[in-house]
Amino acid sequence: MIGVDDLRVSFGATTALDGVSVTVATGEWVALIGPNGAGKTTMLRAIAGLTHSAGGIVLAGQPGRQLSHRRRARLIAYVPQHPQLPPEMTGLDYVLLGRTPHLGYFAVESQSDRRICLDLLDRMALTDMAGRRIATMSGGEAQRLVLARALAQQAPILVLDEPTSSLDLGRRVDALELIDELRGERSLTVLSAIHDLTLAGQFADRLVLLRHGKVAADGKPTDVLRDNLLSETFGAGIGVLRTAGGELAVISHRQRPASPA
Amino acid sequence: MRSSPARVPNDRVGDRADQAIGGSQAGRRRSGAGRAGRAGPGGRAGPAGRAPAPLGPARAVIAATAILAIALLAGVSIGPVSVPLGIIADTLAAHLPWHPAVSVPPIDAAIIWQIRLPRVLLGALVGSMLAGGGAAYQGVFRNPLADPYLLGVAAGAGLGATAVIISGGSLNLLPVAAFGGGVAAVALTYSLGARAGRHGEDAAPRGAAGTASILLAGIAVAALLTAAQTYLQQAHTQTLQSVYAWILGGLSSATWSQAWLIVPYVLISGSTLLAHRRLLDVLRVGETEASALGLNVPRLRLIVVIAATLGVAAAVSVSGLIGFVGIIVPHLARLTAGASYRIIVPVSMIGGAAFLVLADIAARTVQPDTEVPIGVITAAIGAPFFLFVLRSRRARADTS
Repeated sequence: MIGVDDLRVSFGATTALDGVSVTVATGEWVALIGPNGAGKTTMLRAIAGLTHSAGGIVLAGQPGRQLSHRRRARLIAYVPQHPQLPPEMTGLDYVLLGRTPHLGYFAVESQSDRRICLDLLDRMALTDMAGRRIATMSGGEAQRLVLARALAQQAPILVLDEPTSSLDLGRRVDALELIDELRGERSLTVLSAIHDLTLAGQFADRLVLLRHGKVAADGKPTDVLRDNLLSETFGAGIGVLRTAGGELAVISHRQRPASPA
Repeated sequence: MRSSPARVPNDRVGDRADQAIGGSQAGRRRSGAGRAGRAGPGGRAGPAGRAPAPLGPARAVIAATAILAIALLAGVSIGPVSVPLGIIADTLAAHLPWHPAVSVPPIDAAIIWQIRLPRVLLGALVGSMLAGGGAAYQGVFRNPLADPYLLGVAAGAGLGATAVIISGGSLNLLPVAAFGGGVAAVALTYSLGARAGRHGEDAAPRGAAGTASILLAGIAVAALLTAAQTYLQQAHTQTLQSVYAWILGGLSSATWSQAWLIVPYVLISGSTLLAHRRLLDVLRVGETEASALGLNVPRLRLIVVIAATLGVAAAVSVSGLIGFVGIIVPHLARLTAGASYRIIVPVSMIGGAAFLVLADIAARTVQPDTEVPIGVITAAIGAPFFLFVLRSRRARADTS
């Protein structure tokens, strides 16, 4: 569970988050949506303790501000939009980094840590990647590897910043399905920023729309994905279509009609 | 000698360095994986997906240790008077508590025990600290160009030593002043840089605030102290030669007492750096992610800098400013043993010891009558090697 109450972040004179209150229930998947600069990344970083902030943060029932780096990393696994992937590191060594919060300061990984990470590689269909260098992996493989590292932390909360931004549409759906399956298997609480509004509506239980560092809307996809609300927030003509199967598709309208060919 | 080329601002301070997956990067990686392996320029083609066969941790440590053993033996044996290995063995045996009855010519015994052995051992200690410190700095600042003098230890030590020499103080004070100057310079750099980082980089992640500021503060402090040192040096030209000789560095005045003097620092610094080598690997994913993985990045950085500084300042205090060891040897370790700091740190320490002992052999044998400054030898080997590293780095675009 994540509880955020009146969260504020400012960088010098710029206010990035201006009193955001959001609760994510245990096992729930909430997607943060909103235009560039609305504060999505800042909010995720503040929750992960990676930037200075004011306001209340509760992680799995514990006051987030009083946690040491290590304790926090056992509660919350954070994946940035562009993870740094040391090209010469092998897949297994990379996933083993996820065990850091469980290791003593001077300790090295035990056999059980290796077991956990090898099992995760299997789960992610990356069995063959254990001994491979990251430099040789595809975008989709690297994405799953990063997810495996986050899961190796065995934290109940997963915070993902644009987890699919580097993938093609097919791999995006694969990745989000995988996150959803893992959420079910491990009762994970997931908070993620997702740019693609259609995908956000398909996968998240709830959407939180941020605008200028404030919550502009918070609710079920059908409540948040509305033409006028999105058009106003994103400053562009945006339409929401309902498919025959009942899914919502978000499209943008051109500002000028397409010129005839 | 003084200004090493490593004082280049960190080119990947930010966390959005060139390794992010995303955008065109991922596309490039994918197409790269599509071809068989990564046949980089420079003949680094290998079987699909295999690293260019590093030695592996155990073999790398064994190989480096073997080279060190040979270097130590050669260092004792080679010189104006060459000493056969049998006599070396007998001399060493004669210093064992219950030694067998051996007879060694007294002159050979004196050369070995009082001149060569302290010099060789001191060189090994100094080399291991310089290379170990360089490896640690490269890891903790995530900068392949970092060397142990990055934060001003050399400039501070130089100023301290110069002050003692021009004031005509006892030469026994020289190591103390050099050590104190080096440690004080790094403390100044760190406090200025960390404070500037706190004020100036709100937007930076909490762990990352400071790295760039610390490196920049190091450049400024080094420049300031070097200016002061140069001024003092030029204002007292009568001592120019001894100041200059100290700055060039060397092991020619090595004694047992100097070796014993730095042993405690070597032990503390070496064991601390070795104990942190896994955490340096965690830092390879960047300060933000390392922080998210539960690492207290500012604390790790402080501990590593303190440990490296103690070792490097101790080394500099007895040997002067020997350049290039601290940057070449970690890169050699990286190229031969692999990119993990778990291997780079120990191999750098052992390899640095061997490298400096070998360089010292060259320094005292290249010219028949006089010694070549050891810094000339390390740089003469180091500069071409440095260019080679840069070339291969560009080819593979990786030392992380």
